[in-house]
Formats: sequence, C-alpha cells, structure tokens
Amino acid sequence: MKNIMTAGWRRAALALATITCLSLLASSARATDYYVDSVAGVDTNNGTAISTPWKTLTKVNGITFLAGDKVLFKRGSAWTGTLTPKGSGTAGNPLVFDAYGLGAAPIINGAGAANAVMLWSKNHFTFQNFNVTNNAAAEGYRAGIRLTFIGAAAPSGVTTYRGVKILNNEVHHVAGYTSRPDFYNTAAIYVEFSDYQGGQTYVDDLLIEGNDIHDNRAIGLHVKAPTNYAGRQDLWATNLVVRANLFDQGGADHIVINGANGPLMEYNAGYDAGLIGANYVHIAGMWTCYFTREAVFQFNEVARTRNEYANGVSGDSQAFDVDYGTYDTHTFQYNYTHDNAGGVLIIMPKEKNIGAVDLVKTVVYRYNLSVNDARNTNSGCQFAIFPVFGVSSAHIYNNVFYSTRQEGFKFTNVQAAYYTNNVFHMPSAIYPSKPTFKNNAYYAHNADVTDPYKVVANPLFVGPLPGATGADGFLLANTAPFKLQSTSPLINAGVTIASNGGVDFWGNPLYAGAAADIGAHEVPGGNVPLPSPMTITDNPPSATVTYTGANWAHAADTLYHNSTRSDSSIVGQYMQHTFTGTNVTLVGKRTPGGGKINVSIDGGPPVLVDCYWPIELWRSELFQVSGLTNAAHTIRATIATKNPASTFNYIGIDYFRVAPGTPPSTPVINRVDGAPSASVVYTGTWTHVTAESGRYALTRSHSPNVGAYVNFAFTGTGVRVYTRKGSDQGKLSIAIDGGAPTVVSCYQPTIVDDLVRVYEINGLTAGAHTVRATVATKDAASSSNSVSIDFFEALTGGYAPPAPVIVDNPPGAAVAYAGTWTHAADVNYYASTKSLSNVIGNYVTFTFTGTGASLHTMTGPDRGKLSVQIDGGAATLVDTYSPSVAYQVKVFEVTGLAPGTHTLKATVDWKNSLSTGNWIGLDYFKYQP
Amino acid sequence: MHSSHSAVRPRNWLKPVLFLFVATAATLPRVRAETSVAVADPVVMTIGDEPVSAREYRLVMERQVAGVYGYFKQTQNLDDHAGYWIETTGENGPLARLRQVVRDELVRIKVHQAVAKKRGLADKTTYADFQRDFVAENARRKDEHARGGVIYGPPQYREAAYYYIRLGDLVYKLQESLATELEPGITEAAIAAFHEKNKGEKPLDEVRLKIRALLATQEAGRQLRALCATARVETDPAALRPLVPRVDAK
Repeated sequence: MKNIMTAGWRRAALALATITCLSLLASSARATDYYVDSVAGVDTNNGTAISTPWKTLTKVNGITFLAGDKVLFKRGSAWTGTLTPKGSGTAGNPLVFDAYGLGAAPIINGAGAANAVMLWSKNHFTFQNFNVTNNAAAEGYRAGIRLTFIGAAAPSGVTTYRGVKILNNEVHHVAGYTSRPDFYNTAAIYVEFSDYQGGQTYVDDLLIEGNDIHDNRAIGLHVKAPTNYAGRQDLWATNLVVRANLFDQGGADHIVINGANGPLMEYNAGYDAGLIGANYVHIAGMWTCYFTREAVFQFNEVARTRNEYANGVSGDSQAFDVDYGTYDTHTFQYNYTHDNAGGVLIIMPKEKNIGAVDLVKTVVYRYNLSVNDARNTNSGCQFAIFPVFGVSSAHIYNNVFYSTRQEGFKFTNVQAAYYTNNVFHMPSAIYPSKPTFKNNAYYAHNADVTDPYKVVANPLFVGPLPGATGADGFLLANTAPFKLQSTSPLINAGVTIASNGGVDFWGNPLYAGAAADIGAHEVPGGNVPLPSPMTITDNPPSATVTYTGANWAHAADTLYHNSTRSDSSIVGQYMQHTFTGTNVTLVGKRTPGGGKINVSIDGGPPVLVDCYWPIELWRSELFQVSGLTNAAHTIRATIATKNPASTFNYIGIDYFRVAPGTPPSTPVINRVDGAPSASVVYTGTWTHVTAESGRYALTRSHSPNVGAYVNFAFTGTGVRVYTRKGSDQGKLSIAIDGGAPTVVSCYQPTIVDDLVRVYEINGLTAGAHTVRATVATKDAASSSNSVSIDFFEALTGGYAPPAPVIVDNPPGAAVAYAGTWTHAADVNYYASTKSLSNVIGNYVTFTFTGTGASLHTMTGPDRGKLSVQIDGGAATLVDTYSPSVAYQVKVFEVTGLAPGTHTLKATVDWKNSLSTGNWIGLDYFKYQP
Repeated sequence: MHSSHSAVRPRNWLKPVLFLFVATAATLPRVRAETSVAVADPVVMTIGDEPVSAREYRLVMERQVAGVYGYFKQTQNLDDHAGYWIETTGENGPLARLRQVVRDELVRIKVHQAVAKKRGLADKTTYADFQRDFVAENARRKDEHARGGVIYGPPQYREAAYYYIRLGDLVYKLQESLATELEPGITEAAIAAFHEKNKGEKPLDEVRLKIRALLATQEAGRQLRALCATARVETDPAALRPLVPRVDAK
C-alpha cells in the first residue's frame, strides 16, 4: 500500500512537476521581449536579444505574440508598410509594442497604404512611443493607427474587448480625406466598433493618451460606431478616455466620438483644425455624435478652428459640438477656447438629420473661457445652439466671453437656452429675445438685452487683457488675466446654481460669499446692489416717436431690438422722441454706409454724430446725454451729410433708452416775450414783427446786421434764449454779464423751425443778470446773417450741475485731428476706440462749451508727451509715459474756465529718455458743461 | 606631539585638496560639455537676415524624415538600410531630397518669423530664444501639474511639438494682421465673382463681409508665399554635413 501510495504520489508529483514546467515554459514564452531593427536586424535571427533582432514588418506580422510579450522597435529605425500585430494580452499581463534604444522614435510609414498600423480586435494591448505616418500624393481611405473591434459572427452575441491603450505616439501626415463625407472614414487614429457578420461589439477601458497628432489631412481621432448601436446602450463603449493629446494643424476635426457611454475628454489641446483641409465645410474642434451620452469635455484648449466657404455652404467651425444622435447630459467645463472661426458651441437636437425625432438632452457649458472666438459660421452665431423647448436645453453659466473682434457676439434665438452669470466683454453683441439672460455682466458694448439683474460695468479683470493683435504678448494658455480683482463689481453679483461642478475655472471651491460671482472666477467679496431697470422706447412711429420727411421707412429687421427699424438716407429729414427723465440714449446702427446726424435736446445746440463705421455694428449707442432737468424733453436727430469715407447717408434708428436717476427738482421758469420792453432792450437795427402766427405771443424781432444786439435783464440762476432755426438764419454771440461769449448757430438745412432753444446756461449766482445776444457772422452754408429772437426764459433753482460729458476720440464735430493719426478699435479704451500718433507736431483739438475739461489717454513704456493748450494759451507739457501699461488715464485737466466755448489743443511732443517711443494713445475727453 | 601633529597635518591638508580635485575633476568635463553644447550650435544657413542654427536645422529635419522614407518607398521601393542617409546616394538620393524639403520648410518658417518681427508681432525668433522659452514652458507645465493646476495637452512638450505650436500661433496672427490690412482692397467685383462661383444657401448681402475676409486671408497667404519664393538663402555646406538623421556603422 505504501509502495502503491508512493508510486501514486510519485506519478502525481511527476505530473505536477510536468505541469509546473510546462506552465513555467508557457509563462516564460509570455514574458518574451522581442527586438526589431531596420538596419542591423536579420529575419532569421531569434529576435529575442538586442544583438539578434528581426528586421522587417513582414517577420513581425507573421508572429502571434502572447500575453506579457513586449515587441520593441529600435529608435532611429524606420519601416515602410503596415504593422499588423497578432495576439492579445490578458488583464494584468498586456501585450506591449514599444520602442527601445536612444534617438528618434521608430517610424512606421504606411506610405499610402490603408493603414500604417492595424490593430485587429485587441484585448489588453498597449501601443506606445512610435512615429506613425501614412502620406500619399492623393487623399484616400487611410488611417495612421486603426483599431478595429469586430464582433463574432451571429448568433454568438456580444464580444467584449478591454484594456487597449494608445500612448505617446506621434501620428502625422496621414493623407486621409478632408472633404465631407469621406473624412468620416479616415483619421490619424481611427477606432472602429464593427458589426461584422451581425455580431456585436462592446469595448471597455480604451485609453488614448499623450499622442502628438499633427499635419493630418483627416480627422485627428475618430471613434466610430455602427448603426446597430441605435437603442443598444449596452453596446456603447464605457471608460473611454481621451487625455492629454496634442492635435495640431489638421485637415478636419480634432476629436469625434460616437458610440460611447460617459466618455471623458480632458487635458487635450487642439489647434488649427481645418487648416490643411479642403471642402470639409462642417467641422468642429471636439465633439460627440451618434449613440453617445453623458460625455464630459474638461480642461481642453481648442484654438483657431478654421472655417471654409465651399460650394456656397458656410460651415460650422465651433470649438465644441453636441451633434445629432446624442442623449442625456453633456458637460463642458474648464475649457479654454480662442480664435475659433465659428465660435464656441453648436448643439444639434435631433436623432439624425433635420426632420427626425427630437432627443432629450441637457447641455451644460460652465466655467469656460472664450477669447476672441469669431462667428464666421453658417448661423453667424458663436452659440449655434438649437435645443427644443420642453425636450432639450442648454445651460450656459459662469463663463467669460471676451473678444476684441468688431463683429462681437451673436446668439441663436431659441427659448431653451439659459445664459446665467456669464461675462460678455466685447465691442458689440446682438442679444435675441427668446433665451433667458440672467445675472450676466456686460461691458464695452451696448448691453441691449433683457436681463433683469444685469451688471453693466467693467469686470475689473486682473489683466493685462489681450488686444486685437499678436503684439500684445498674449500667448498660449494664458488664462490668468481673466481672474477678477478683489474690487470687481462681479463678486457676489451672480445667482447660485446647484450641481455646479464644485470648483471654478482655476479650481477655487464654489461658492465663497453670499452669492455666486459672475464669470469663471469665484473670489471672496461683498454684495453688489442690483441695477435698476431702464425704460426702452422702440423706433416705430408712436405718440412719442415721430418722423418728419417722406423717406423714412419702417421695417422688420431681426438684427434690431424688437426686430424693428426705421431708416432714411435723406439729408435734412429728422425724427424725434419726447421722453421724461434726466437722460436719454439714442441707439442705432453704424455701418460703412452710415451718414451723420445732428442730435439736439429741446432744440438746443446740436451735437454731430457720425454713424459711419468700417464694419456693420447693430444696436450701437449713437448719442447719450445726462444731467437734464427731470422733466419732459425732446431729442431730435436730423440727418446730415456723411463723412467722405462713408458710401452713403444711411441712418438706422433702433430705440431710445432712459435710465432712472436722482432727478433735480423742476426749476421755476419765468418766460418773457422777445418784444422790446423794460427788460428786453435792442441796440442796432432790428425789425419787430407782431401778430405773426407760430410765434410766442405772436411776436419776433429779427436783424441781419452783424453787431446788433439785444439785452435781457433777469433775476435768477439761469437763462434760455429761443429763436428761429433755418437755412437762412445766422449766428448769435451770447454772453452773460459781459463775460466770455458763446457762439450759437441758428442755421439748419432744409427745414425751418421756430421756438427753438438755442442757448441755456445754469448755475449762475442767484440774483440779477443780463444776457446779451449779438448778431454774428453766419455759417458759410447759410444764406443770411439774419437772426430772429422769439422769447427768453429766466430760470430760478431746480438746477443740479450737469454731469460731466464724455466725448470719445473719433473725429467729429468737436474733435479734429491734424497730421497722421490712426483711428482703430481697442477694447481697453473707452467705447473700444483709440486714435494713435507718434509724429511730433501732430495735434488734436477738442472744442467744448463749459467750464473745464480733461484729457484721457493710455500710458505705457513706449508713450510720449503731449503739449496741451487751452484757447491758444500757455502750453502745459504732459507725459503719458509710465513703466507699465494703463488705460483710460486722466493725464490733463483744467477747471474754472469762464462759462463758454473753449478749445483744448494737444500736440505730440518729444518723449522722455526712459520711453521707447513717442506714441500717444488718445482715448477720450471729458468736459464740464 | 609635534611630529605626531606634523604627521597628521599633511593628511588634513590633503583631504580637502583631494576632495576639491576630485570634485573639480568630476565637474569640469560636465561644465565643458555644457559649454561646448552652448557654443557648438553654429549657424548653418541664413534666410534673409534670419540665422538657422544647427540645432534648429536638426529639429526641423527630424520632422521631415518620415516623409522622405515614404517618398522613396513609393517611387523606388527603397526601404531603410545601413547607409540610407549618406551623401553618396547623389542628387536624387534620400539625403539630397531631405536637404531640399528641410530648406523649403525653413524658408517658410523664417520668412514668416521675419515678417512677423517687422510688424511687431514677434520679438524673439532665434533658436536660442525658443530654447529658453521651451525650457521655461516645460518647467511651468511641471509646476502646474505638481500643484494640481491646469495644463492643456501633454504634461511635457516634445521640443518639436512646442516649436510648431508656437509657429502655428505666429503664422495665424501674422495672417490675421495682414488680412485686416488687405480687406479694404478687396473689391466688390471680386466678392461678387467669388459668390457667383460658390453659389449656395446664402444671399450675397449676408456673406459679403465673410467673403471679403476670406479673400483677404487668401491674398495674405499668396503674398507670404511670394516672399518665400524669392527669399535669399545662404548655406554653409561644411556645417551642414554632420546634420543627418542617422550615422550607420560601416
């Protein structure tokens, strides 16, 4: 028994030893490292040592490798053809294709083959550190690295693949297709879930990381699923991660993902999608498509996605896209987009194409930064989003949208879009009526938007902000300037949002303070009071808005507020609006064909406004005045002759806006007829007309004699003078108590008006005063020196000093330039305009009526000096040099001037020795009426 | 005591000297090597007034190698082999073709850099400038990564990748700048002709500005290509000779 037992145990032991040995042998086989060298290799070698490498791809392709094997290609070597590895790994024991040695990564060159690297149905397989290319003269169905996962033949059901990694490869110059629709079947890295012979495929744990994908005439990375994935969420890939890849100079999209449940795309950078393509038309930087749900795009940079106008189709070209056939929630957060031709985001709501079923989906776009993204796309909108109300929706919150592009921002007019807590900082924007705008901040443009809690203020970013050119030193991944200063009015001015991602763009926890901050930065801060509502009066003719002249047209136009506009191009025609309040803003269009308007308040001195601009700008603030008495006023805009640069006299009126304010009380007005009396005394030759209809008290006094004058003695704190205005009327030189005179013109072309207030002064010492109005030499355009006095008004009290008035730098009635000046756009300047010169002796003059004025410029290390004179007096030398750049800086101020018309002249002078240039960046003037 | 002290003294004196000598000996070659690397980056080519150093030449060359392999496989069924990159393969061989495509690429790069510099869009265009920025950028990425900050793309750039990203940024800004200047010169007739040729979904009024911008960008590209075509190129053949993708053992 013992012997038997012993023999049995011996046999058992022998069997066990045999199995163990075989096992070890097998294990040893799985652990084999193989070497391949295109120069020193020989295919008859065993390939298992650096000294005995194989040589060709043919040899490698003929071997079925085992789990745990490493197949190592020598750096500095190159192979031409297709690498098609056989075999797979197992969990914890992957099959690895890698590089060895020093020098440049091993090259696998498809040289125009269908694929340079073909990976069939891999499990636990890693492919890393290769240089893969597949170029050809003509485009074709090609890939650099192709991963095809095929299901087994029916009826074997679903085949599962796991653990494939594509890491740290350079994949470039793949000559696939860039034209639509062929490019969908080519890519630098092409991942294909196939339904071969009816069997289904399910892929789990697929990682694409650290690859440098450039100069491909194809999509960068395309994960594609078959049509039988429809309704089969059990087949959609899980744990699909695309991370830290670099996509540069592509012919089509960077990343396209189909057939995935919860894919994660993060830390990728994509530049110049479409740059080397042709006829691609519809591309985007990174996007999801059919059979995809719960995708997350975060910490990606997408820049310079190109747009192409091909065959009459103007394309997409946004940074991101949630396209047809996507479901449930898609989240975009902490991404940085800039200079993308088509803007920021496109959302397609359907199952397939237009007309198909609407899909339930929610798109969240939060805590992202957009810099200079354009709207050069089919919809003309940075947000080309089309969620279906009640079915799908887009929630865009706490982003910063910053642009120096003159065309500004535009949004599709859809109801299911919600814009909250965003910063819109750009020269212009067109806000539609259907989306919900709430607690957003608007700056550097006319915030013509229905947002009950909007903040219209400088966000006070940390800066320095990028400018319109590359000369500002603003380079890649420079996001820090868009943090908020501690004094920003956006702090705690937003609305809190649940499920907000937990952190801001820079990783700060949400929220700090009583409410959310507006923008992508959450910083500690205090509360900001909510702004008050404005009163808007639209342009169509009404009781308070009237048009004079036959050529005014009133039409529908979606680019205007409330989709209405009134326009005319006939010089002399005018329109006016009667309002009650202390201020008014006229909003309209600036355009390359824009004319000018003379804008006056209550018949007072007109201000000439130029509506010319090199590109079309809708909803532009054309004129603004504040500091009026809180009473009924009339603003009139009369079309005047265009400037020479304009192609037309076009004027497009949009609406009027009155802001609430603290009104001064109403003054006591003592109206006195202009007929000769104890207080109204005429000197020189005057004609006194009586019983004439249309005159106050049926009288007027007129004289064409220069030097003739009338004195009106009154008691009070102010006075007004009313006259006729017309094409045959001259000028009056008006002075108070013998002081410096102010010259007012009674000329206006085409139309004759009576009872026009041509002069007003307030703020006089309470008491007796005399105003003298003297006939002065007429305007050249007028046919006569005649002036016609109608009546006077003495004012007592009810007067608050008017607010200072800002006059921007563009050439106009009050601002004139001599010499070579460049007038350009720059959002760092007031109203986004600047005038530049570095030529010594060039000058600008600013004419104003008031008691003081100030001059505001940019200061910086290359700035020069200005020699400033008031009314031709002694010059004051002003230095605009500073070691660091600052904008909207007051560099000169004068106060205490006699009430009247003055001229400020600023001449470019020599710089100081520290400055690197003589540049003057003129911003604006401010004067005290 | 004295002798004993005296006997010890030389050893005490020797120790630091020996240490210093060993330390110096260990350090010197490294210092010399670093110094020689810094010095040994001669100018091998001048394009206009822009110098191309050996290291910059090699960086651009290595991006072109795979394309040359592909070309000779497709036209002559030539695979990699020992001696693939030697000059004796003549004017039509791989090295000659590589020299030509590298030259063309460098002309493109240097012309864009020179124009950008002239227009104030770039102030640093030498390879030494780039190297400093490259080292700084990777250091920044490393720091950001270490403290959990955000970086876009790979944790560390490959040198060539960063070189071409910067180039792409510069070329974009240059073309935008040129196109902005050229836009006013694009005629209505040219815009209308383009629209007519590419007739589609949009009336002319809606796409006029877009077509103007597109034509201006195309014109900017044409002008830059014309500058490339006429660029003055001076090469130092002797300095270029060692710059080959690989030196095979004979």
